[in-house]
Amino acid sequence: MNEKKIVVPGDFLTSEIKKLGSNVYINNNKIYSSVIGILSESPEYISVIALNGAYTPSAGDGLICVVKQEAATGYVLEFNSPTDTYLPKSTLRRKLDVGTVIFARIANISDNDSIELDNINILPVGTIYSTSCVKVPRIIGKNESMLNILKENTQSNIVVGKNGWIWFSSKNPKLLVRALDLVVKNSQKSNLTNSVKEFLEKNKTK
Amino acid sequence: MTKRLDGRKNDELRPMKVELGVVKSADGSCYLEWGNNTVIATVHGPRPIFPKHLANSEKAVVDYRYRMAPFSVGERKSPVPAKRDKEISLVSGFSLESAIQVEKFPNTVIDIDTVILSSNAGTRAAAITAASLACADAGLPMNGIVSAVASGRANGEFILDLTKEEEDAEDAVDTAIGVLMPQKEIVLLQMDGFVKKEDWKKMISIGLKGAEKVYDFQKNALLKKYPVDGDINE
Amino acid sequence: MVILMSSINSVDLVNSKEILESIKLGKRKDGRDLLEYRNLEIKTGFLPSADGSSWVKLGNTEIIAGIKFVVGTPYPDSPDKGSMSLNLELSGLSSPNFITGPPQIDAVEFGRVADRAIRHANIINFEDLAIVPGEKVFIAFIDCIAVNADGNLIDATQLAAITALMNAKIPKLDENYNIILKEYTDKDISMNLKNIPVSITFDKVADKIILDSNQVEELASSARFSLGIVGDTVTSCHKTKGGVFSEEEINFMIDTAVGKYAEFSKIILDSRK
Repeated sequence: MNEKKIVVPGDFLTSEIKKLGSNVYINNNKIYSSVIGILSESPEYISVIALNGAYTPSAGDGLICVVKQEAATGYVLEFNSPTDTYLPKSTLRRKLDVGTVIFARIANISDNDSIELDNINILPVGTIYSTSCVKVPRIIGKNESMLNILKENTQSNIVVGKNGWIWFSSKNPKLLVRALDLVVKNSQKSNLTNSVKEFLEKNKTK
Repeated sequence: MTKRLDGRKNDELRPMKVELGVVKSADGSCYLEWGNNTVIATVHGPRPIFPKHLANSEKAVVDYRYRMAPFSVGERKSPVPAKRDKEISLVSGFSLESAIQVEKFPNTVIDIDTVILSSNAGTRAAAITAASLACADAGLPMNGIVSAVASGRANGEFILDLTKEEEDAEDAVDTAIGVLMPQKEIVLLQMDGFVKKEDWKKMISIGLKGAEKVYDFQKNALLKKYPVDGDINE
Repeated sequence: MVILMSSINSVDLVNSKEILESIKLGKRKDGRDLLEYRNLEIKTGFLPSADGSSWVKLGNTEIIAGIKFVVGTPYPDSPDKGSMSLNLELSGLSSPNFITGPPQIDAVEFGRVADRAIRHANIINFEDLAIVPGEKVFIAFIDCIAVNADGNLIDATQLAAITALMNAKIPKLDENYNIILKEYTDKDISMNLKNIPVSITFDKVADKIILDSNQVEELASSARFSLGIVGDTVTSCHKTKGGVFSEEEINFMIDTAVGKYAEFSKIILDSRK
């Protein structure tokens, strides 16, 4: 069984020649971690799976965004990222209000780092649960196993943004939030999907 | 070698206690008790910077604020920031900037707030130590962790982590030293006193060893927050 | 850095629209009843430098209060009485919406309302804070810092201030009436413990009256009403935000606040070691 190793910023990882993945840096042929996270190493490849951190846009990602401001020719959208993005009115068929929630896909990231969105869907009134983007893979789970357990046991409609914003409409909002908090707090542990399933079954009727 | 007032050895640090993630609305945070110093540090960011003309197109701006609560010192201190606070904010910000991979986030700001809730010498070192932890807690990409400590002399002895009483000694020399670990690169160095060159070198060497002890403490604190074994915690 | 007014977080704004339907049905997102307070934790006497201290956690709202006595001159119209001054700071520490700087209007308002709830309760015997009548008195500075801002800062601030006062010790003075640092008399502040002040703040959301709003509920609130209560007596009140209350609603809130008094005054009294 693979023992999980937690590393912190500046931890020396290896001086072997490996392909650099995310959250590592190289200095004088030595490879170090740049974040607090779980070491992921193979003979050819090394990276650190971050336990917290900001979202960096990547083409193809589905995002939950919120309209922050209306400008003359477009809207400023916030999406849990270090910078906001701009959505031209020409891409839309209707007017948006401040506070409207959108689910959209990153079609393209241009040279100057600006983002083009497509597949824009306006979501109905709902709640946004905010966490770091690094937690999203565990909230979805292998083959969406975790996500399905959350949906079924709390009777919720859930749309997950890769940016760490999770939109939901739920018959049991308090239970869902507690379950999400559980995933977020224990994301480094193994067997999480089963533990969350047990938690939900135990607390379902409350 | 005379024992210190609180019984510590010359190279011994005061007891430290830490809790990460105490401020839930922040991206990262740290509550630190170090001797009779108490400090809370929070990190928000990287996030959009306002007003826009302050943005740097090549890297994140690090805005570090060091403040002392009015009740943190013997005589109540006015809530209005003093020049001392502004200066400490500036140099402390530089020390964190050298650790954070700021080039990854152009046109943004990283807001670091530190508030001293109780003070007994070495507050800027405590604040930087807590802020470093808060930055790591926030998941900011960093080259290392900044560990800070006071190194100096009092009553003829070279000592680490001076208390207020020791700072007030007649021959007192007090150096705040901040070190990027594990690289052992000095990122903060400020001193008040009157010290010969050889003694200065000794003091720096002792300070670096002290920073290593702080670094061990910081690493443990980070690892403790993420236990891989055991049942899930609510 | 340029100082901005506290801005509104987009996620909170979105969530504040969502709660309206449920509130209309009497349901709150965290499962509370409309008139139920969140979990309350109080820790006192934990700061070595302060003359009294308290850390209040009301749900996710956290306020730290520290007391420092200063020797000052009395007000001309009350020459033989000491005084108190309550100050609240909302900074970048407590919320992504605040930016550290000079007090913004929120901090000023909340601090002053919390102050009045204590001051007008006549709990502190200000005459006992006189040192040399007409010349020198103790001023109790209560400085409050928000560590986490998740709604109802007024009640949390008042709780932090009053519990810090409950545990404050008077410093010793030298022959020139200067405070001797770190030396205390064994006197607590002289108080009328029959007059423990309690602050109760209501918000109107979707035409329902609720207690102890969190941040999201506050954003959805159209009107707010804060009361200072001692027993069955109203000692101060403060209506804020642009919406309206009917006479019925005001009377309902006063009855409800008086009904909560016993529970909170006991908590405050129990915090006194």
